[in-house]
Amino acid sequence: MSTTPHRHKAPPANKGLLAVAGVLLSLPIIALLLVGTYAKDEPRLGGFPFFIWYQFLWVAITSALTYTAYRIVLKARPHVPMTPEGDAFLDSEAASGTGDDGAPEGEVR
Amino acid sequence: MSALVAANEPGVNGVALAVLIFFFVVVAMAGFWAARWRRPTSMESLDEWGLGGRSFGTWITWFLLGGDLYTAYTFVAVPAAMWAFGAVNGFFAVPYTIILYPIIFIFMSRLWSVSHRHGYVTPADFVEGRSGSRGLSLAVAITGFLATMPYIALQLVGIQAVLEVVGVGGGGNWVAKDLPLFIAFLVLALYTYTSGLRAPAIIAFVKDILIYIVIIVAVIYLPSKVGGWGHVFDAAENKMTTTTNPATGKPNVFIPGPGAYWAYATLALGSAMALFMYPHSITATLSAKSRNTIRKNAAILPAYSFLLGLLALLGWVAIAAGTKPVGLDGKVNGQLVIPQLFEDMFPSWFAGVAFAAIAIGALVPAAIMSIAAANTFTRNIYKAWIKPDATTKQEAQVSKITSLVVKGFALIFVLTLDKSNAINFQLLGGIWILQTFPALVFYLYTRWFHRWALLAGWAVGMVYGTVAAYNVTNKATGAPFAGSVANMPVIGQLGYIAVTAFAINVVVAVVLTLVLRAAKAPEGVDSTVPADYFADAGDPRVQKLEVGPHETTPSA
Repeated sequence: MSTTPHRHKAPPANKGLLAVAGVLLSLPIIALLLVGTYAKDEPRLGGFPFFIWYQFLWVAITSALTYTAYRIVLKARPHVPMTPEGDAFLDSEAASGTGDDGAPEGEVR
Repeated sequence: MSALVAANEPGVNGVALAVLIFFFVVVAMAGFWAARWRRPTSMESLDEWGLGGRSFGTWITWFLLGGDLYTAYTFVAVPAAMWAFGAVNGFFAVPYTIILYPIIFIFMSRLWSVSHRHGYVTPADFVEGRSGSRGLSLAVAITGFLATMPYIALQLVGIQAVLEVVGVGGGGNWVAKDLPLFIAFLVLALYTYTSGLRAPAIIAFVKDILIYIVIIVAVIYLPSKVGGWGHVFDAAENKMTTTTNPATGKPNVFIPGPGAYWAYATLALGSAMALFMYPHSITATLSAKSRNTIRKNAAILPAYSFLLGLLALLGWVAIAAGTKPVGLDGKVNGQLVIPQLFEDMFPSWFAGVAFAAIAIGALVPAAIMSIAAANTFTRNIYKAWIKPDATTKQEAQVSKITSLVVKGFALIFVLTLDKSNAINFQLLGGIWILQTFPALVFYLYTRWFHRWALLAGWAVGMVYGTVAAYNVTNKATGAPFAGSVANMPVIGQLGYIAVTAFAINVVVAVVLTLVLRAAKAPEGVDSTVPADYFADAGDPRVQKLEVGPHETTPSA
């Protein structure tokens, strides 16, 4: 399709790390959709029914998980700048280095 | 001045009204001043007027998105639903706004990147570029526009609730009754016209700070006045287990029973998936200056969800406090419960601060929504179908005028409509907007789906969702559109109609894609390449879509 195939590719990524981030992000969704696990009054905490304080607890947990996932995806797929023409990536070194967690599984030019 | 008003007109809370007017004037001045904030060389493009120059950093985006997403719906309708019907109708907003953030974390940065590369302003812009289908893009645009209209109207209901409790707007004739709302909206329309997205971005600071102060004070101070949180929950349990919802004929809910699990979960999931399909959410996201701004925000925006949960509980505090939300017409109106609680329990001046928080809380999203609706009209209807060679300057001009028209419609909408249905109207819009999810989000990852199949899936989902919502009748009055949950086929439980319609939408899209591929139906042209979905600030914009960047010679 093109004479410059590398131009079209996504920057390389460490798929394992991306999967870890995916798991962290899916935890709150799963936990909160299982309504039966928390739809109860007892035990109360400071007068608050379990149903209420448990969901409040997930606000904080989700924030922490999302921030962790953010740090992970930055490491898993570092940004690779484009040339001013937007037709190639600038730095092939940056593209191949994804930290010390093993070789990137994405394509390296 | 305030004492004078109070003395002359019994029923008007003069001090609270004076504080409310003070904040309104401050905010209006800030709105006009915003045109000079981070002053652009020219305001005459959608990038500047409609997206604030695509320049907002993490904290401005945090305030802007918080002000945008947590609307009058938050401050008025959620506690009202808690007060009247209990946890399924009201508290689902908490899991909804929690799971929202992991969901948008996943796909919004891709949308930011591709929009950065191609200069997309609206979700329909992206769909057109990706699918090469003007029809699918038009469907997405019209859905966004339609869903946003009742949402803007809902903001007016928030302002109206405040004005009514303060005692303004009770005059016998039409002019006296609606004039304050009219003036508030006119001023809003004018500063949105001149300052664009910069106006709500500035005002959001005032709004969010006010609302944090009010809610924190309220949740500390109010329960102690009514006997503590334990007593609040006991009073709520007592009310919820002894009353029924007249619209459904079912008992109200303190804590959802097994029959309501699906409804609670699907309301949360469907609403969370739908929220960032709205043009106004995308507008606030695309105004961020970098790809990761939205991801960082996904970690810090849940602060607002915590606030929302506390606010929802104030609906139950009002039960313990025995709040009587009676409107100026003498009828009980659940929408008034929070303003009424504040007026009953707070000193007048602080009640005024609280009212200002709610009223300004309505102005910020109303401004962003009208900008987003106007951008959608300009890019995906005016430019796409009426005047393809419109210049960026003409685009900005059309968008500015459309933002005025949209607000006018919202005003008519709210003045002629039954206000107690505000939350259900918003939920009907939610049913529609979720049907654009496949075209927008699936396309961010794959072009496997055929454009015509996505269009057909959208159409089926829209029709099913609308019909199913129409068929939810109010048991007491027989009126249609009485709620947003209905029996789900196959599962056989009550669930959010939007989610059922979405599932049918996806099934239709998958089946038709297989059929169309087998029939070798023509594919549209994709103007994007995979690398576009990972671009960040500093990466160049694609200059001309016709000359594919891959046709230029790469540097060695």
